[in-house]
Formats: sequence, C-alpha cells, structure tokens
Amino acid sequence: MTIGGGPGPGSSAAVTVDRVGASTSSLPRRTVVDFWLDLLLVVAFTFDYSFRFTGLTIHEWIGMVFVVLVPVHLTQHWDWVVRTTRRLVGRWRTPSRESLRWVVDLLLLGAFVLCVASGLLVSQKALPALGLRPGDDNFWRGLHTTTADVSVALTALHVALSWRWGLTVAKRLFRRKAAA
Amino acid sequence: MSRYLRRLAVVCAVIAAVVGLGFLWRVSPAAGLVADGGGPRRELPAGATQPRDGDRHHLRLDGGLDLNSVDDLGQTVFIGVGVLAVVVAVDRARRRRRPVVPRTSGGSGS
Repeated sequence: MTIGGGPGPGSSAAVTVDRVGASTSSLPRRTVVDFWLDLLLVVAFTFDYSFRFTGLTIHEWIGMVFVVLVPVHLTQHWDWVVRTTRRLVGRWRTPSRESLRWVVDLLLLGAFVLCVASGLLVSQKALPALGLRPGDDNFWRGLHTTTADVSVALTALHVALSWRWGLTVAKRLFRRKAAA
Repeated sequence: MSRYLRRLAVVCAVIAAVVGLGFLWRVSPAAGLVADGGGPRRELPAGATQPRDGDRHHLRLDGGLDLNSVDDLGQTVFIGVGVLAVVVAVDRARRRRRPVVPRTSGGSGS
C-alpha cells in the first residue's frame, strides 16, 4: 500500500507502508494536506446535508466554501484521475476496485458539481448577501435536492473505498502527534 | 506552481462543462425528471396527517444551528457510517479469502 496523493493515490512522493500501517519514513507534507482537506470536505458536507440542523444561512455559506474546496480537491488528485483513466481505457472487461472507484468518482463529480451549482442558482441568503439575486426555478431546486441525495450516498462510498488510506494516515498522524 | 495552476485551469474547465450540461438538461425534455413540484400532488388517504414542517426537504429560513434538529445530522452520519461499515466488511471478507502475498523489497503499489 502507498501513502501519498490521497485516496486516489497520486503523489510521486509515495511512502511504502506494510499491512499494519508501519511506515518506512515520515508522512509527506502533501499527504497531510490531502488528509485534512478531505476530512474538512467530509465534515462540511455532513453538516451541509443536514440543513434542518444548520438552517438555510449556514447551509448556503458552507455551499459557498465548496466552490473553492472542490476544485482544489480535484486539482490535488488530478494526476490520479488522468493516470487511472488512461489505465482503464481499453480494459473495461476486467472490473477492479480501481475501476469501481473511478466510476464512483466520476458520478460524484457530476452530482456534486451540479448540486453546488444548482444550490447557487436558487440561493436565498448567501448570494443576495453578496449583492447577487439568483432566480427561483423549479428545475434547479429539484436538481439540487436530487443531486444532494445522490451525492451523500456517493460521498459515503467514495470515502469508504479509501478507508485503508484514511485509517493508515490517521494512525500515523496522531501517533506522531502523541509522541511529540 | 505553474503546473498546479495549469491543472486547476483544466479542473475549472471540466466543472464548467458539467454545469453547461446542467443548463442543457434544463432545456431538454428530460428536465421534468428532477423539476421540483412539477408532478400532481397526491391526495392524502382518509385519516392521514399532513407532513410535518420538519420533513427531509423542508428549509428552515432563519439562521443558526437548531439543536432540536440534531437528529437530522444524526441521520446523515448514519448513512455515511452505514456505507462505510458495509464496504469495510466486504473488503475484510475479500482479504480473508485471498492468500497474503509477502511483500518484496523495492515494490510499490496502491
């Protein structure tokens, strides 16, 4: 297993670890950034989906944060996207964990981007606070709720498919902090 | 840095393309698949109660966290943890069935 580049392992500075997660060197800075960014995205989306709890104002401002964080997250893992796409082209008949992850990520990209975009297009609090007045459209409203439901399931799957990476990095990160 | 910015530009282009597809969807005949409130409202059966204000897609317009609705957050966490538990269980079961191949030095993998 490698650490580096996040759930879609994509860093050239990969660190080899054994089955139980013992490392042969310290965590690369890139991996630490990926871990905290991914954790922030998961926590933010968990709160954002629970909008009866957050209320519309917080819901929309968290949505605005995704406008920045999602492109950054995708950019961090773009190498993995390109490499995996190239590798999978031409051998679709051999389904693997990697191809499953690729399909889940592709669907999540579409659903999540449409969810955030449609959320902006029906915003009642955040965009008006910035001086913009989006319209009230049944299509965007319906698309927002549909893609949000799809995204929450796909996000859970997206995270779950990388649980070993997350667990290994978390163990090493917190062990190192505890030792310091 | 310039490599990162180039990649960011590609990512933004991909995101713009997805949003563009959303606009195409809006003007296509398939728009009715997701349009909110487009369909006829079903009559409630005799004796059934009206949906509560706190139903899943009801929006609370006021600001601030509502601790009375913390169950909503609980539901979301439950979905995530449920999917995670299933994937971890399947993964562990598959690994148990597969023979462990000892690692050789200098190997890499993901």
